[in-house]
Amino acid sequence: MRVLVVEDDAKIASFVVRGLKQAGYAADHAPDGETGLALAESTDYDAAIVDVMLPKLDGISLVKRLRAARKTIPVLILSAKSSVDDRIRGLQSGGDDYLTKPFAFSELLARIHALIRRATQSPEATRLTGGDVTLDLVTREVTCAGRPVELQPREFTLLAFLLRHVGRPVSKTMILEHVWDYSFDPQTNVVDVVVSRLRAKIDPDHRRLETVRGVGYIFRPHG
Amino acid sequence: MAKELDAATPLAGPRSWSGRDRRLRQSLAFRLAVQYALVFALASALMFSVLYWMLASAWDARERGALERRAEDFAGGFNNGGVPGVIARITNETSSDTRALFVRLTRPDNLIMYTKWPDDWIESQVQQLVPGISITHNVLRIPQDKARDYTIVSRPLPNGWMLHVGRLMDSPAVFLAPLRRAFAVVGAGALFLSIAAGTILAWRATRPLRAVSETARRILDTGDLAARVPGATGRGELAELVRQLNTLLDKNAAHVRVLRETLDNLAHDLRTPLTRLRGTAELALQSGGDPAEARSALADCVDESDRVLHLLEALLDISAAEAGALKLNLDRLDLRSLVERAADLYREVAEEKHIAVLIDAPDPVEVGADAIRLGQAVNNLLDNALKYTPDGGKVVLWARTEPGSAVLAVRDNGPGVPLPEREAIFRRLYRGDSSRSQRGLGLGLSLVKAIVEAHGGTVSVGDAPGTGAEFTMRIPVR
Repeated sequence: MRVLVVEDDAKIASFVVRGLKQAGYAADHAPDGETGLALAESTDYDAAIVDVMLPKLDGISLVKRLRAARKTIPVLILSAKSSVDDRIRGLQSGGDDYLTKPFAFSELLARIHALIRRATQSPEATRLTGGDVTLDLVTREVTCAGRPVELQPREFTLLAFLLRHVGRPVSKTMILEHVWDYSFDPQTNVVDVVVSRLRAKIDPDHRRLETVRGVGYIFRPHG
Repeated sequence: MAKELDAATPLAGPRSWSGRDRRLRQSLAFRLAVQYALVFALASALMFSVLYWMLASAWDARERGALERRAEDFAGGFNNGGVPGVIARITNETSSDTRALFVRLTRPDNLIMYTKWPDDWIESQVQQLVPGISITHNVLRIPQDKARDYTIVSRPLPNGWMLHVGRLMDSPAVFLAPLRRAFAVVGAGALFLSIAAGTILAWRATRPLRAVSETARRILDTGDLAARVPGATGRGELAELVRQLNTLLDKNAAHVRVLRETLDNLAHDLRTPLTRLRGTAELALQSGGDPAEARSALADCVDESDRVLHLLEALLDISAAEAGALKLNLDRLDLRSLVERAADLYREVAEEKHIAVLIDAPDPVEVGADAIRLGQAVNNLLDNALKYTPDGGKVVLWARTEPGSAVLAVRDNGPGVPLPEREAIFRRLYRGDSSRSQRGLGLGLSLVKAIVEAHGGTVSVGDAPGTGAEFTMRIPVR
């Protein structure tokens, strides 16, 4: 797995590249848009992380030119701008995901992982599992340690999302995006509420659904 | 910096006495007065010249007429008695006037038959001229000196004889000298007076301009935003200018005040979490190095920095909305869809508190609005209602189309909002008294207000039917 990091801030670039390498990815760094474009066109990357504000060629234009050249490489756009308009602009230019600075590295990693999986994976299985928890997307049956569990629709969607990211932390923002279909953070504690309900049903002994402080939640296979 | 500004702006100027002098000379008032005085002086000079010329010619005509009458009289004497007749007429009249007369008779062959020289005539001067004169002009004037002219009237007599009658006459230049002097003196005085009075009048008339410049300089120099231009009570263009400028200054001061308050609040609100953050980090540094404790401290730091970030973003949103810089993507939408989405978002939160969220909106409520922004406002109103409604309570989301506006009301059966707090709860970073205080940024309602007002609408709070609070937003429908 090879990831291209196009970021002009040396500090951010170095911690992202180091983090990616620790997580088992190969990572290349381009300090400006033109270098980034040249690298992306000549090398076969599995994903690219592109900052919006770049010298020589800005990130949005870079992505547009990549798409114009029929490069389907998944792109995560990084930006200091958090407004909904900027997010929409970033996604319309051909970006596949959008993350606002400052960000938690684990969230960046989770999103990159999801992007690569989405781009490479064969059609999803109808049955998701995480340790002793199983979820059937078709029959909507959920079992925990062999016993059936009754879940409300939103709890079900949340569990499905967590099971797709087993062993990797997901942020509240990611949950809001995928479970509530909110493209911005409505600044509420709804995620905590639903997570604690789900926890009560599938993880009464607090071994599967962990809170990662400062990041979000992680589902650990158990049993 | 201030010096540069002085040089760059004509409003400001040096304040020394010599500077004051220069200021006077450069002042609009002085220049106006001088220009008008010059025009006035030119016009007066022209008028005086015409008057002078008319006076001089009238005087001349009169004197000449008198001389011609004498010549006529003597001609009569000649007709009756020849040369002796003329002499008889001359000697008959012994008046001083006659004594001053020059009389001469010439024959057709230009031989002088009679001459009478007055005492004050200098013969040599006239001698050269008169004998050879072929008289073509009726009247001849020859200057004797600067002050007087010889004036000689020629009158043809029968049989080719010629009669010359002359007299020394004051030249008009001498006669009118006092008039000229008077004009010079009075004119100079008037010119000086008109410049002085004109300057004073113009100086007074342009006082508002100087007041404006003075005020501008004071604000530039001292940053005193409370400075206002005096003299706004009058009528006319300048008073209007002063009033408009003062209004402008008022608005600016209000904006600056709001900005300063926001910054103060922001600084205060950033200080608290930043202090906690710093304290947590410092404590973790000092403690023995227990990894678990250090991790927990780091997590606290991340939480706090997230809180700071959210606060900052919410404040920026509010500021943008209040400054009219919030970009709205207006669409026609049904307010009910926003209400349903909000109820859906908060379903689990409401369930946890056993609060029933009811939607009372039987008909579509069409409105032109930014779905995301207005959705945020609706969410915040519901969030607020859920926070202040006790367990087992009820929240009603009520939406109707009223004439000219789309109305959304969020009613709860909580404690309601006390009258004195109803304005304040929409202020940024305001949190109700401690008994009601909940964890939160204190920005939810001010964001609602900013968003609704960016849509041209209003938001208010009142009593719900029965008990509790009712928040109402009205968005105008065009």
